[in-house]
Order: sequence, then structure tokens, then C-alpha cells
Amino acid sequence: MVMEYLPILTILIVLIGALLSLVVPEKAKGPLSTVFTFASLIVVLAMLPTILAGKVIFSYFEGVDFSVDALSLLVLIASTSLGFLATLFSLSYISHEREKIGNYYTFFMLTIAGLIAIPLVKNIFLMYALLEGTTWTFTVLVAFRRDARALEASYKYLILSSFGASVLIIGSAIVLARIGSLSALDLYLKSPALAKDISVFKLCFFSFLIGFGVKAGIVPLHFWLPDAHSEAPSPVSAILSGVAIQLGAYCMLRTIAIMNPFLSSWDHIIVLGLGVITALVGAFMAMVQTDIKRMLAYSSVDEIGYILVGLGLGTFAGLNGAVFDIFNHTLMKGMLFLCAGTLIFRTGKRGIAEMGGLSRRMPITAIAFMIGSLGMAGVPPLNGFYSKYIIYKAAFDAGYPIVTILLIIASAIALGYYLKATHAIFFGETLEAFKNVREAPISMTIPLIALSMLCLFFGIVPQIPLTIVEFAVKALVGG
Amino acid sequence: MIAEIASVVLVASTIASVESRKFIQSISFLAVQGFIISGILGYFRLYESAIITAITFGILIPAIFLLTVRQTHMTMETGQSATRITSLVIVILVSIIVFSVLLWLRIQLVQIISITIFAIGVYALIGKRNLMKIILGLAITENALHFYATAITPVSISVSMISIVASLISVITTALALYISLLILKLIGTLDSQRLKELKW
Repeated sequence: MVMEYLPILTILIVLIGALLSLVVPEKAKGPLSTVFTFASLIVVLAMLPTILAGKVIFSYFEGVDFSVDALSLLVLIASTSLGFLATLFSLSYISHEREKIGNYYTFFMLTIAGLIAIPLVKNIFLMYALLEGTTWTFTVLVAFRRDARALEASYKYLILSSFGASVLIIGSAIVLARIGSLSALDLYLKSPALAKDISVFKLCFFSFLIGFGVKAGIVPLHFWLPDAHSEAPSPVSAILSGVAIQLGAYCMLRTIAIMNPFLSSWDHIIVLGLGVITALVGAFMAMVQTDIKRMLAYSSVDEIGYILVGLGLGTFAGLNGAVFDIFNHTLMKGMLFLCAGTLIFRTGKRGIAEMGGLSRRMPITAIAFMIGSLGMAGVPPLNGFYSKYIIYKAAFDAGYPIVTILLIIASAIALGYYLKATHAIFFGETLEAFKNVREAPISMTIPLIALSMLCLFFGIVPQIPLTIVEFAVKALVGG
Repeated sequence: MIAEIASVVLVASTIASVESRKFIQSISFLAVQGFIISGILGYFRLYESAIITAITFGILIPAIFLLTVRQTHMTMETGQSATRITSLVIVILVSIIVFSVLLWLRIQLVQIISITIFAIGVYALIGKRNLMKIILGLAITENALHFYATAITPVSISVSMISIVASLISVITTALALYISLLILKLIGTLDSQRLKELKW
């Protein structure tokens, strides 16, 4: 059957594109990458009908099983579409960062291939290996400008992230020793055997929490995040913030959420506490930033807090909210980083206070930024509202009203700093220096238009993604 | 008895590797550490993991370090660490907590050794100012984690797969980190982490 080759095909397409981009002439690299990432998006969308019919696609390749269930597909749709749009955005943008583009597209496509592969493999150790692989390619991409700031950010990112994630070796070894397999499916079926010895189970749990938590950027482990996000070229920031850290959260869902029935209430409170602290610290730190990309980076920390709360609640509604938030955050934060890229491309400035009155000059960017920022703050007609609302309600129903209140405070702070940034950048008098600023070229505005349309659409009709989200959570904890 | 003596030598060589003033000495102590760990694994009849550890932590990673350090003409560490006492306190506290947890779990010698080496590696990561010493600390912590992981799992094909892939990951990470630090050295002219203060908040 054709269907079972589709998961491996998605990875192969992007990998072949990465190899081809090494040999084609400089000018053809960008268009080639765009075509190949678009092809991977088409292949992912082709799997949608099968999944909606309630089936799971299995395929075996060299002893490693690739499978696609609803949760994987949701993450895949979000990441491949953002991958394609970010590649399209790079076409005009990337020469602005450095004259010689070198192997930018090769590393970009290798990164996307790694990120596509993570939701496909259900093997915990392979998830770790692939996350490490994407860390290497991201390190190269973050250092793309080769100046002092970029190199410092990439060094910090590589060291902190590798150190944190290497804890996962212990978790994988324990799972392998106790269960005899590293598959997440076996972890689900046999976790009672693991939970018999409580101290080993705890070691396993904390290893997963710390290891994947570093990649997701939860608060005591987030120090690499704002540096790497703000110093990378904007399309890379969009992928890093929209997909990579969300995949850290996805891996936590795959491991911790299925250990849920055996966790004590203290474990739940630890995860919830980490989530609330992450949300509040991210919100407060974002408020005091003056650089637009650092503000967006801390806003990602804020958002990871919500996902962690949904995960820590462990209830069906909480997991629903977490999964839906992963999907929404990919679209919104990807779009916001691309908007920041457009602004930097046209004005050459990064400080929020240095810009002003750009709404008349760059209307498409202004509208996209407003949709994204209102969505991030959780304002009703947009998609960000629904995922946040589900998490608030889940926390309230699970008997943690204080968590709901603290999250609403974080959300209010988010509304504050996004409104401040929108006002400072787009409204007021147009500065003399920006009289000749024009809207960005079409290859940069198309991704913005597409992503803002998606945000509006999923805000008005949240039932469509929510159906897949419910499938996904059932696939995760229901068998 | 052999295992106990070997573990004492192992811990001593790890400390020497972190604390040596000359970088060549650090690298040779790192290689010694890799070979002793491989010997201990061989003593416990984990032959596959022993060979992998000897190749990666005994030969490959020290060789990469040697190649990089040769290009820098750097023999001495840059200055005394200002935060040494604070980082020592942190490391002592962390190791006390970890030790008490491990005692509570009734652990064996292998695990005590790996935790000790891990703590020394964390000390190098937090307390050292030289960018390459920090990478050395990262390699030491990863070595300790591999040792722990192989020691607690029964022998099987998948375990050696874990061993191979994880070793490969740490070799590539080390090489990439050393390459980035070489770029930093070329651009800024120093490997002192205190001089890298562009990104604070």
C-alpha cells in the first residue's frame, strides 16, 4: 500500500532537497528548497484523510518503526507548513543577514528534516538523538552572521542544550532495562511494571522532565532560549520558536503524559508549579525587553508555561489544551518572528523604541503583527484564545483555581507588552528616517498573509483543529 | 579490590583533567579517564560498551581536543576564576543532594563513581572561564552519564546501539562546540567566558 511509505517519504523528500542544494548554483538554492519543503507539506496533507478516519499509519524501515497518529499529524502539519513558509520567506530575506549565503539552505532543510522525523519515530532514544541532531544544525544556523553576538548565542545554545538533554540517556537506559523496549507505545502498555519500583520510576520521570524540558525551555533551564532566538536569522527564529521548542513539549507529552496515572499528586504539583513559574517569568521578562526579537523569545517561554500546565494537570481537557496550544503557538509565533524579520529587513532597527508609525508604510506587516499579538495574548476571536481558555477551564475544574488566576495574570501582562510593542512600532508619527520605507517584497508578505489567514480561520472555526486535537489526545492516552 | 583502586585513580585523573593549568595535560588526563572507564566496563564483562568507550572517550574526543588546541597556541588557562568559591559551594551542595538520594536508593560502587565524575564535570561547566575547559566539562559529564547508563542496563543489542549512538552524539557535539569556540577566538581574540558579555538578559 502506498500509504505506509508516506511517513518515510516526507523525510526523504526534504533530505534529498538538502543534498541537491549542495550541488546546484547559488541562485537556484532558494527556489529548490522552497519546492522541496512544499512537496513535504503536500505529502503530510495527503495523510490527513486516513487519520481523520480514525486509523494509524504504520511503516517499518530498517528495524525502526515509523508511525503517524493524530498527534504526530497535527505537529507535522504545523511544522511542515511553517517550514515551507519560512523557506519562502528566506528567499529575499537571507541575503540581508550575510552577503554570502553559503550552505544556509542545506542546513535549513536538514533541520526541517530532523524536526519532521521527531513526531514520526515513537522511540524515546531516537527522539533524543534527533533533537540533538537538530541542535547541531540550529547551532550552525544561529551562528550564521558570524559576529560576536551570534557566536556567543550559538555556543551557549549548544553547551546548555546538549548538557541538559544528555540526562535523557539515563531515562532511556532505565526504560530499556525495565521494559525491554524503547518504544513509547510499550511505555504506555507496560508502565505499571516500571511504576512498581517507585525510586527508579521517579528517576525516569525527572530525567524526561529535565531532558525534554531543556529543549522546550522551561524556566530554570531556559537561559539559552532568548539568546539563540534573538540572534538567529528571522526565518530560523521562526522555526526554532515555532517548531523546535514545541517538539520538546511534544516529546514530554509522549513520555510524561502516559506516565500520568502513576504520578503522585506531588509530581503533578511540581509540573504545575514549573508551568506557572515559566509563564510568569516569561511574561515579566518579556515586558522589560527593548529588543523586539528578545521580547518574542521570552513570550515563547511564557507560552511553554501554559503547555506545561496543561501537561501537569494530566486530565483529558488539560492535555487537549496543551496539544491545541502547541498547534496554535507554531502558527502565531512563527508569524510574529517573520513580522520581526520584515521590520528588521526594511528598517534595519531592532529596538522597539527606535521604530514608529510604520502602519501606513507597511500595512500587511502591521495587520499580521496585530493578529499575531492579539492571538498570543488570548483575545477572543482568535485561535490563541481557545487553547488558553481550555487550559484555564481545565485547571479550574481540576481543583487548582490559583493556577487559573496566575495564568490569567500572565495573559494580561502578555496583552500589555504586545499592545505596547504594537503601538510603539506601528502607530504614532512616522519618523523622518522611515519616510521611504516600503512594504516588504512579495515572497516575504505571502507567508505573513497565509499565516494570519490561518490564525483568523482557526479562531473563527476552532472545531476543525479541535476535532483532530481530540483524536490526538485519545491516541495519546486512550490506546 | 581492583575496581576500588581503579575508581580512585579514575576520580583523581578526572580532577586532574579539570584542574590542570596546561591544556595538553588536561587532554591526556581525559584520555586516561576514558581508558580507565573502559577498563572498568571490561571488568564487568560489558565488552562492547568497553570498546566503544575506549574509542570515543579514550581516543576520538582527546584527538579532537588536541587538533583544536594546536591551532590556538594556548597552553595556560586564562586567569583565576572569580566565581570559583560560589561554584564550589554549588557543586558541593548538588553532590550532597545527589549522594543522599543515591544512598537512599542503595546504590553500588559503579553508580557512586559515575555520580562523582558527573559532579566534577558540572564543576568544570559552571566554574571554569576558559571556553574549551567548559567543553571538556561537557565531555566529562557525558562520559559519566554513559557509564551510568551502561552499568545499570542488562547486556543486549539495543544497549550497545544506545552506547554507539550516544557516543557519536557526544563526539559530534564536542567537535562542533570546539569549532564555535575557535571561531570566537579568531573573532574576539580571547577564550575567556567573562569577556563574552554581549547577551546578559
